[in-house]
Amino acid sequence: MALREPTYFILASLIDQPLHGYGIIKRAEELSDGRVRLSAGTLYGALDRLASQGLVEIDGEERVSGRERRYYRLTAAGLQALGEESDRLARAARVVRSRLRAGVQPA
Amino acid sequence: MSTRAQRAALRAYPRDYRAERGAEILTTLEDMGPAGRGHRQTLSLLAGGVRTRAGLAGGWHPQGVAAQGLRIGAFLIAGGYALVLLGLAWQQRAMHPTGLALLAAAWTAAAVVVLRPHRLAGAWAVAAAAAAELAWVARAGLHGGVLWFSFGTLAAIAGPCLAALIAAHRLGVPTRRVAPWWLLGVLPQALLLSGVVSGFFISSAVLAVSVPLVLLALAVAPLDPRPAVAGCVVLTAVVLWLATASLLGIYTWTAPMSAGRLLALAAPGVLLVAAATAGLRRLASPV
Repeated sequence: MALREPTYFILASLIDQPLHGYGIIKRAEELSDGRVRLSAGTLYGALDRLASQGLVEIDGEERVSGRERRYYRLTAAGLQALGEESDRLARAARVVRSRLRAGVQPA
Repeated sequence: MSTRAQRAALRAYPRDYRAERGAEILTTLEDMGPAGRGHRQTLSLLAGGVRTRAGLAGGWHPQGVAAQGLRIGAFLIAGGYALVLLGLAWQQRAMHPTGLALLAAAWTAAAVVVLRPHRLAGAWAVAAAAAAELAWVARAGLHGGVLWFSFGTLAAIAGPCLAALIAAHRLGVPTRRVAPWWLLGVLPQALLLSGVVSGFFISSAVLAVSVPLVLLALAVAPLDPRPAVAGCVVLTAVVLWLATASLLGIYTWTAPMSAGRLLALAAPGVLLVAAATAGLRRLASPV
């Protein structure tokens, strides 16, 4: 099943390193060129769902000056789902690009 | 600092969820700075809380939710019909002192069993109540149009119930506990059905009950599509029943009146189907 764009970029934000909630929001916005702007309710709903699907897991917790942060990381299954989705998107892009390069004129 | 509105919105989440995630969510909002203090964040917390409370966040599969919606629809029909029969039993207590009351009891029992997502138990209970009613109708000395109308009503009630329960069984049994807040819809549902059966379907009282119910189901569908799915099931029964009444010329409705009633149900029907489908799609991939 195709991942929606926010889900895709939440997973993508965790490729390099585990991140906490705000870290995911910032990184997803960067990676998507500002298109994905997650609200807290959406983010935590998505994290709950991705965790129950085994695509992300809790990496650790920290408490700094009264602020509680929890870090999340990709699981092997999450990495695989992300790889499959990026392959699908790449194939879809390739089909269109090759046709455009071949100079197909709109009717 | 998170705002007071956000801390209030966080209360939309269940207590154990707040204990587990509340501090973390507030930290994330504080980390976001000014962007974390807007109404958008408050609304998203409210929506997330309602979804979590309804048991729809996290590990729900759309099939399980659709199955629950179908069961709720079957429950509303069976429970509402039991109340209608109880009303009839009281009205006709001189003519049928016990028969109708026993049928009401059978349908009440069926409604209770329908609530338990155990294999096809609900479908069997509905089939048993329908069989009891069939036997009663056959022995009650009814004839002509009234006899056929009794059969038609039974088919319009039991048919969608059975179809919904069998479909729910095929979709799979939901495993998570769900707060039964939708039970609040039972009484108005009964009023709606009793209004239908007593032939005053487009009466203002019935509209006053059914219009807000449909609007509510439509409004919550993006968060919880179960009421919309249940509404589709109930509406199917209502349409089948109206079609039966029209074909048999019950209540001396003219053809345009019957067609008007059926058309009046088409709009909410289309909206409910669309809302239920969209809500289930959204559950499959909410963001």
